[in-house]
Amino acid sequence: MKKIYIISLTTMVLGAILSVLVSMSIQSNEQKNKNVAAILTPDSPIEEIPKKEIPEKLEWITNTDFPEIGSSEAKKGGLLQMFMLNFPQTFRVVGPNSNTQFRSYILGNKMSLVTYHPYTKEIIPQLATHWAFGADQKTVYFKLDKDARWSDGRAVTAHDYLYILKFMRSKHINAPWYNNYYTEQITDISAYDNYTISITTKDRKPKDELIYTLAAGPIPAHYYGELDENWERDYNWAIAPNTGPYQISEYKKGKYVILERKKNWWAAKKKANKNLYNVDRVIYKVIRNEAIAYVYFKKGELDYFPIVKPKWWHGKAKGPLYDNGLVVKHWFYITVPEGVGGLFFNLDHALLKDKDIRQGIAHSINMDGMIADVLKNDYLRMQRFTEGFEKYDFPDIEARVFDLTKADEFFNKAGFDKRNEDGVRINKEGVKLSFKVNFGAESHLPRLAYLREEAKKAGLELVLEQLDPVTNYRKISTKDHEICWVKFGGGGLKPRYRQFFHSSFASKPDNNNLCNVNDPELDKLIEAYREEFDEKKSQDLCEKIQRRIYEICPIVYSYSVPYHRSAYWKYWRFPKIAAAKSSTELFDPFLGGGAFWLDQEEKEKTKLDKVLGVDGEPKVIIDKMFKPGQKK
Amino acid sequence: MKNLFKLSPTSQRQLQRFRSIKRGYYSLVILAIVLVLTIFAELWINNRALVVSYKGELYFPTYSAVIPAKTFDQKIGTGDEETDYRKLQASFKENKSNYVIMPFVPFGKSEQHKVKDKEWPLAPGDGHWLGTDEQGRDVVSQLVYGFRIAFFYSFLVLVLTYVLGVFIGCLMGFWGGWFDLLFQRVIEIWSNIPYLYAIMIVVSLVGTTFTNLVVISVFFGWTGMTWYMRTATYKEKSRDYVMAAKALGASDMRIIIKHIIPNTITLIITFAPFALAGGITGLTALDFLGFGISAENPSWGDLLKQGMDYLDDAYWIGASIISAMTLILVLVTFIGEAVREAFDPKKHTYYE
Repeated sequence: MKKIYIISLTTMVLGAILSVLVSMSIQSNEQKNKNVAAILTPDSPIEEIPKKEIPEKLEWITNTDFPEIGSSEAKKGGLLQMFMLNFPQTFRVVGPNSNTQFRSYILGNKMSLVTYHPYTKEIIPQLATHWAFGADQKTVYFKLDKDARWSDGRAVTAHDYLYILKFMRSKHINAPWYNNYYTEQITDISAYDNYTISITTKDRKPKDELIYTLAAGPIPAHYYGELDENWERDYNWAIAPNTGPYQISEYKKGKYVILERKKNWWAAKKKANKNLYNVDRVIYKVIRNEAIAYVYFKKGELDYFPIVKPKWWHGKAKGPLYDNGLVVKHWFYITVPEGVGGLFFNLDHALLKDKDIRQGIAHSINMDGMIADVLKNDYLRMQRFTEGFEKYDFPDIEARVFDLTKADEFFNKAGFDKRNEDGVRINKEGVKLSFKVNFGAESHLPRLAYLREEAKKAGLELVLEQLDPVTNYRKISTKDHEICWVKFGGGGLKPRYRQFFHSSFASKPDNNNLCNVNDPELDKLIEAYREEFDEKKSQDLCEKIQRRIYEICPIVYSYSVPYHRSAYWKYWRFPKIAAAKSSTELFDPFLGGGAFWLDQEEKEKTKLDKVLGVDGEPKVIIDKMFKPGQKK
Repeated sequence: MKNLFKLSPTSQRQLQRFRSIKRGYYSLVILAIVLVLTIFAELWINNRALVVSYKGELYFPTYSAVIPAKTFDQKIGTGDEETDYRKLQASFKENKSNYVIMPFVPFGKSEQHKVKDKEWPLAPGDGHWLGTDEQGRDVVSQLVYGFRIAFFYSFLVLVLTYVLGVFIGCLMGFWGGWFDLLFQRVIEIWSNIPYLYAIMIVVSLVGTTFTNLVVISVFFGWTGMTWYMRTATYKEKSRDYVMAAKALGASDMRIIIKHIIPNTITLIITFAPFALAGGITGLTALDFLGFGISAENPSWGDLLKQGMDYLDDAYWIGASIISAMTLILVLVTFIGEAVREAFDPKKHTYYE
């Protein structure tokens, strides 16, 4: 009995000590948070940077002659109600846990030196008024706008740019990728006076790509000051000063975040921002489930709901709200560089290294039928390796289509001219024409099952192998697959081929040459393309590469989704061009978007209509202005 | 031969008792019929014809090799692909000498039926009694073929877990001592591993094939039976007949197999139906979560998930699968109850 007493006593004592320790550490945390005070206040004087001569003669460029983005009819005011599935784990934009959906809303209010016009894609000024290219093809010079202000009122100066390197190279931000990028790729940022800077990158690049890489946004030096090891924790919920049109004004963890339009935003009068950023406040409500969010939307507690998926656009977005035109359905085509997707052959496989077999398979895959029957004809067939790079797109290169006669020819040529009792082709040695197809997304099973059933007709057996995404990724990156079903992310200014097709990556793990393409001719073209800075020659090389890829036939392309689709209440108004050419959603209230506005009168009327009932016409808008050129 | 089928008086009485419990007995009859039907599902749910008579020759495509379309001069594709028997039947309508007899449900288990201007899932109609799923596959065929897989999975798992569990449980009870102690601890730890989670993790590593799934399920599921068998064996061990067998010089294995197991068979049999039902729901749950054998095969879990996804748009998927599951589970439960009652030792206890 005594033993029990001793044990319980010890446990209690230990527990007490532990709880005291825990509470102490929490306290010290709180104190640290309170210590987060700006190193410099917004009003402290700005140190003058000694004037330096710019080492070369520059030709300063600016752009004031671009079409206005907003509509003159736009009215200011109102609230935009949006939802997000999770509350962000932090308001930091670098460091652990910062890669959240909400991050893009914070970055949406972080201005860059220059930006792209949303419709014409030309370069327009943002924080810089003028820019100039250095002769080394690595450096760009910028003249900063003297009007630019942080949200706390302090002027944006060269200090805030010089600070980028200090900040991004700091170990304390705990972001190795950025540490590396701002050391290896961005090699230098220099100031020539308080309002003139230059940024230098490691590799030579053509002008458009160079400025795309270097037009960074400043980081408020006065706000962060010297970083220390507690930075990550101390700044978790800090609302850093920004330069854009909105700033976080209120939030409740796990519930919502409100961003408010700045009353005296420094750039409000600039041409690029005229009639934009119209709503006064944007609220992001945390709703953890799509279906529930849709109920909120139908009640009018959300203004917009994304209905991109066929299931939503064709299926669930129905009913009186739509029939009477209270809610508008808007299908908006975009032009963006689409990531490649499809069935990737492993060219190291004994059968797949035969080009005839690859071409035979390409003609046995009924991708168009799948898009029609499974995806309800909503997606477009991907025609070639890179799509959506306007200047680097070659619409006459088209994907191979489902054609049993052609498949038959190619398979016969490869020696697979007989069929076994299951109807699968075999060659003389009795080898079956059968391949494993790896995939990771369970929801893609219906798509692949369709392709498998259709391929049977050609005597081709596809064995679907669904793995969980991590295992699948490992299998693919070790090139252990026969055929894999993959879709890459898109983006960039110019198509990139080296990582996908250069022989230096073939038959080695952990790279993007999933097909193990090893073609000397293609290698030569890729290397030449990489070294070429002239746009026209670059385009020619690009076309040659595309044609060579077509000949090699390493991939059966799947589909592209060049649009977004939304449902919104009828009181929202848009300019003639509703959104940017490369927008990701219709309601992007921040930089790069923000052209829409709220019609208050209509909103009041809609509220009544909803109660009293109204007989309206359904409103469905299909906006094809930016539909990518597809040859039919 | 006659002796083989001759049951002991106890068993006869138990069987009689089981037969007298009508609910359980008829459930068993129905389940048996369903099972036989599903085993020969190819004969009544298939897109291959039962009989084709063409130019005086008879063909039986059901279990034979693929018959290419050109055999019947059917003009689709290159002619090397499999005959479309439904179209063939339609094309033979005018010509009386040729005929096609199609199965009762003329759709294959993985066939995706396209109907012009209609989107999947197809509502009941167009030859589909219960409509199709989101891949255009006939729901009836999915139910039947899915049940076949689930039932055989469950049955195999049941047999293997029982063989392992009964054997180890008996040894624990019979030998006792350190063997018992050691295995008690092992089983305690083992049975604390969450069953479905463990299966999901291992399956995601090794891939989802039928054999993999059976092996993994047995690997994590054999512990259930050991406790009961251990206790039962302890009880039986102290009986005189075991002593007698020992005195006569019977080996341990002989005593366990010939004497103890037959005397504890009641225990094994009464648990079996419930374990079978558990196996079916287990596989359905795995399929539902995407860790079953759904990639290549019809499955109940997959149907259930689709039923949930299309709750407002395609009621027929959810309604069919839920009714089918309820029906099968109710049948199995009725059988289980009847078995338990029939084998109730309170009714027939005989000491030897």
